[in-house]
Formats: sequence, C-alpha cells, structure tokens
Amino acid sequence: MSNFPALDCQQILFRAVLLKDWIRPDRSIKWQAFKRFRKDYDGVSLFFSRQGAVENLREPYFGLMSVHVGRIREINLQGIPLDVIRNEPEHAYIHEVPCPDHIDDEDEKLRRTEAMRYLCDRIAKEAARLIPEGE
Amino acid sequence: MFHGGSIVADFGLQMAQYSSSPTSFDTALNASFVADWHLALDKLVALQSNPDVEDARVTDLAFLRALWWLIFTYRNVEKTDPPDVVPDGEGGVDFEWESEQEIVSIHIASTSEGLSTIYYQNANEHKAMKLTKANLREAVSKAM
Repeated sequence: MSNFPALDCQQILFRAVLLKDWIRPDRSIKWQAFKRFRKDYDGVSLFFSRQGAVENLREPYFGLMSVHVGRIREINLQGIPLDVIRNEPEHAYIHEVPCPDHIDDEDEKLRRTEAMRYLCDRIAKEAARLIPEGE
Repeated sequence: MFHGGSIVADFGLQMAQYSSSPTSFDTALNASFVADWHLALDKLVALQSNPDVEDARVTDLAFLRALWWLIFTYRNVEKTDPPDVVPDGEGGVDFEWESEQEIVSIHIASTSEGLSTIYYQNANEHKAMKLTKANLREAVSKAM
C-alpha cells in the first residue's frame, strides 16, 4: 500500500526510452518501452521529473516519454483498469501490468504474456508521447 | 562469447539458393524480398555481436533460437515480409509484423527457463500461445 495520496488524473510523469529500437521511424513508441522487466517487482516505473527518469541509468538512453496518468487509468483488461501509484516522493509505478517471468506455471505465463503485451501496446499508443528534442 | 558467423553464412547461402530458384518466388520480386530478409538477419547478428548498448544484447541462446525461427519463417511462411527485429532489453528478442489492423509477434526468450511465445492481435481478439510451428502458421494465416 502507498502512503501517498492518489495521483490526480492530470498528472504527467516521465520514463526514459532505453533502446533505440523501441522508437519507430515515425517517432511513435513501441510496446517494449513499457515492458515490465523481471526486476520490476512493483510495476512499470515512472518518475515525477525528467531528471529522475534518467539519473540512475547505467547506459545512454534514446529519448524521454511523457505519460498521462488519466489516460493510463482509462486502459483496462477484462474490466480491471490500470492505475498509477506513487510509492516514493519521486517515483510511481503502473499497477496491474503483469510480468510473465515472475511465475513458473506455463499456462499462467501465457496468460500474463498476453495481458502484458496487450496492455503495454495500449499504454504506448494511448497514454505516452515521445518528447521532441529541445522541448 | 558465441559468434554465429558460420551459421549466419549458411543462412545467407540458403537465401541465395532460394532466390535463384525460379519456382520459389516471383523472379521480379525476389531480389528485394531476399534483401529485406537479409536486413532482418543483419539486425539479429548485430544485436548479438555489436549492439548499441549492452541492454540490447541478445544472449547466445536467444540468438540461436531466433536464427532458427527466422529461417523457419522465411522458408515456410511464404511471401511474408521480414519481421521487425526488436531487442526486449533482457537478452531476448522479438520478431514483429505490424499493420494498422493486426499484430503478429514472436518472442524469443533469453534463457532456457523463459517461455518463447507467439502473440496475435486484431480489433477483436488478442492471444498469446507457446511458440510452435503450428501456432506460428496459425497466427500468420490469420493475419494474411
């Protein structure tokens, strides 16, 4: 549970694009930019500042995305909506994006893969925008 | 580190032989078709041997599996355009075919514990399946 109040739907958060291949030639974002990694135990990380999104990265990044909390909450799968939860002063995470690698059962892995792929695709298309250089 | 040079060279030769076979593909389209598949192959090799950043590097296991599925798709799913080759950021790789209406995506897991999958999505359904030859054919046939 979070000790922080619920985020306003108008809140904008930030996330780095870690790989060049996650940006299409038309500058739209691929779903992999929102994939929940094995190390993401809470959910997909988002940050309250651009600086926060990049300051702990080990390697160069290839862009910054702005993410709209209200649009994330409009996305659901089988009636379960996504949410964005603040868990640290400068950090929040997208809740309800499953990680297939956190479980061994094959059927459950497939179910989670399907959900993750579908939800991440919608997040990338409907709730995120690549910030143009210089903006 | 594993380098798949000889396997890749064999695949290149297979493509060349395929492209010289007048019964396999329409001759006029053949050269550009094969060239496009070579680009996918080159991308996969680069991800294993010389990625932009370490997070993009594909594991040796994922590389071998991905190479096998690339060859299988090329040889068995006729006239499919080559996929977009996308690193997953954890040592695995995705092959993706996207259009306005549909997505077919193969995920090659980075480890032996990981599950390689195929995903299909259109306006009415989305489904993930274990990556098998039959499931790949099913997903691609739906998308054609």
